[in-house]
Amino acid sequence: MFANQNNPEFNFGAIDNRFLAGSVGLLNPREPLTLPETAVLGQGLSFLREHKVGAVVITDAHGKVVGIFTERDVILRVALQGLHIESALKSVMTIKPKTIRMTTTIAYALQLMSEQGFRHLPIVDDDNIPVGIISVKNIIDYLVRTVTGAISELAGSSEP
Amino acid sequence: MPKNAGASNKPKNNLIEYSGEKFTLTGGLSADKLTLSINAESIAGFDGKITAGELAAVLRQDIPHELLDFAALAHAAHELNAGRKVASLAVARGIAPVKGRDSKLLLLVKHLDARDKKGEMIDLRYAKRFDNIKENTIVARIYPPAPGTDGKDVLGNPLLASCGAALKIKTDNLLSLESPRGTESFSRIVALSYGYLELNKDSLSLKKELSVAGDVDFHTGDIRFIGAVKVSGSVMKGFSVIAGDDIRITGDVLGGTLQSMRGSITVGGNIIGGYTAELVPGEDLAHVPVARLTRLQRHRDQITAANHVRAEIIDGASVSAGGRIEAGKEVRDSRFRTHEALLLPRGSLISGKVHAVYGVEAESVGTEAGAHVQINLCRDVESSRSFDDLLYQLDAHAAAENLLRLYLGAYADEHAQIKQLASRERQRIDELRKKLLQVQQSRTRLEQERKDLLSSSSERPEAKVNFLKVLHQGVQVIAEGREFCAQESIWLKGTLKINADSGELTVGQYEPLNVKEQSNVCKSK
Repeated sequence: MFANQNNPEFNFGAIDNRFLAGSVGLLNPREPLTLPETAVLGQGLSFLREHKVGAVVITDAHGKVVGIFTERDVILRVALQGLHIESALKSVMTIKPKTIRMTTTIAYALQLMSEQGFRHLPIVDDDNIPVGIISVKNIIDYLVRTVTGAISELAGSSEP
Repeated sequence: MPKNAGASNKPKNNLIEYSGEKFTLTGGLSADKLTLSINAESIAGFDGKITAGELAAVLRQDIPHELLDFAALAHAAHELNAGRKVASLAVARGIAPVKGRDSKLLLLVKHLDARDKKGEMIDLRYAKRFDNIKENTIVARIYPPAPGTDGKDVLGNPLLASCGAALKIKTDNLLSLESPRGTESFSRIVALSYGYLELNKDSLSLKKELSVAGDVDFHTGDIRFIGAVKVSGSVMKGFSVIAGDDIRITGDVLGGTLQSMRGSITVGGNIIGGYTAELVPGEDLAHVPVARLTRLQRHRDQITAANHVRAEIIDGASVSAGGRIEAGKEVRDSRFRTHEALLLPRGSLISGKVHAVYGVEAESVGTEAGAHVQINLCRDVESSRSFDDLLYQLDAHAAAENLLRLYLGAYADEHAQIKQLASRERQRIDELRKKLLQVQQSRTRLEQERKDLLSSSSERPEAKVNFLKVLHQGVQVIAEGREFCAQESIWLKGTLKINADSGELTVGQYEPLNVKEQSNVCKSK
């Protein structure tokens, strides 16, 4: 009758659709990699390659978010455009990207990504300083971990 | 045009005093030593040009070259060449030190603010959404203070910057502060248990119990909390409280839904069913049309607890408990499923249906008018909702099979005659026969599942129905395939159980139930 009586996570995980109302912070987003706005294109490309990431956040002298440079920018604005690697990164980055807070719901983040086509969302604090970054893959990975965990708990339960 | 020095930069003391062939110049520092301002005038009778470089050459003896403001010096030279005096003009600036960033607390989850509380109660009309925190969730980060950026005064001497202020945050024993890992620049605050996060000025704590002020209604919405929930009011119709641990309702449950995943449910008042509005008062479950009863029975249990359920009156509700179900006064028109027993040592079981493993004990069972009471003394498996669902599916399969056979008539079993039908009719009959076969196969699987479940059930304790005053006529008790129906009221204190010799359900001397322990029933209001 009562599966998983000892599992405090039962029915408060991904099986329950209210999981999407949880905060993005629950995904424990990693700290974002950043470059200053004075960086050049070559630095941006090297950065993406060396760190094997899809996006790097661009900050001003005060550490606040002013842009984001992603692999999509590489495809749409850099490739086949004949740009020099010493070109200002500011000229090819996405300016004033959409940002979210740690307490933004996962549902809203997914909606932004879906409707506006973002693959990465920088997370900022009250001072607009980047404190995290999430991607579609992060959310999918978290969903898969939580759902498969919940399903295996249900399947392994001793419900009479 | 360079700005002249403001009032705050008036020279406090003359650092530089120069008198040459072309001009005289005095320079003084501001109080913070970040600005050098000069007063200058050309020597009377001098007709030549004064250049910015000449002014700079005078200043360079004391001021580093890179700190000189050549635009201001050019302006000063221009003024002097025009025969005007220069007064309090800032011509050199130091670099102010930048204080380091203070240590910062960044919450990763939505918390409840202590300001939204009235005493220990949370007023959910005003409190915003909060996150259910699971064990080992990182709830916050503490970024350390950053060192500042040193500056230099106008003379080139270093000005040390102060470091940011450290954060003073207190955490309770359910939160742990962990050091940064790998390349992280922050410390983590990790939840050691589950609950919600509360921030109270400079103190973070993890609360495992949510205390709600007032009723659960349109103001609060449904409540879902991973820990325990305490409601100071009632739970109104259409609203639900789902909790990981215990649920305590001070008032009544008026058609609302309660579910405790691991704990008990205690209602200080009454539990009034969510679907009884559809039942005509006085109507017993045995006479409700099957289709309507089926729909009602498919309704999710209104009250579900892993452990015990307690209330004063339970009326028209469906209650499931992993432990016992206790009522102070009476229960009627309700459906109970308990892995232990239904207990009303000072109350009446007026009407309804009970599935209990250990049995039932009540002061009075049934009514003189013969209200329908059905008590099933069953195994733990049989008292579960999932077993009930299985039986329902078997019934539905049997009904479907009967219907198909009715429609197929002789064609259900005799295939040869089908060939004599016209092609269109033959096709229809073939489809129905395939359907019949599917239903039969599915039913066989379900039957096997039922047998497997029954064989997996725990050994049955000796179940009893105890009545402390009266067992009224019409009360039906079913156990181990045997049935007892009281033909007349039995006015005594007794026990109905399976007789070891005859194997039949018989009434005998009172024997207490075999329930492990009995708690005190909730007191009357």
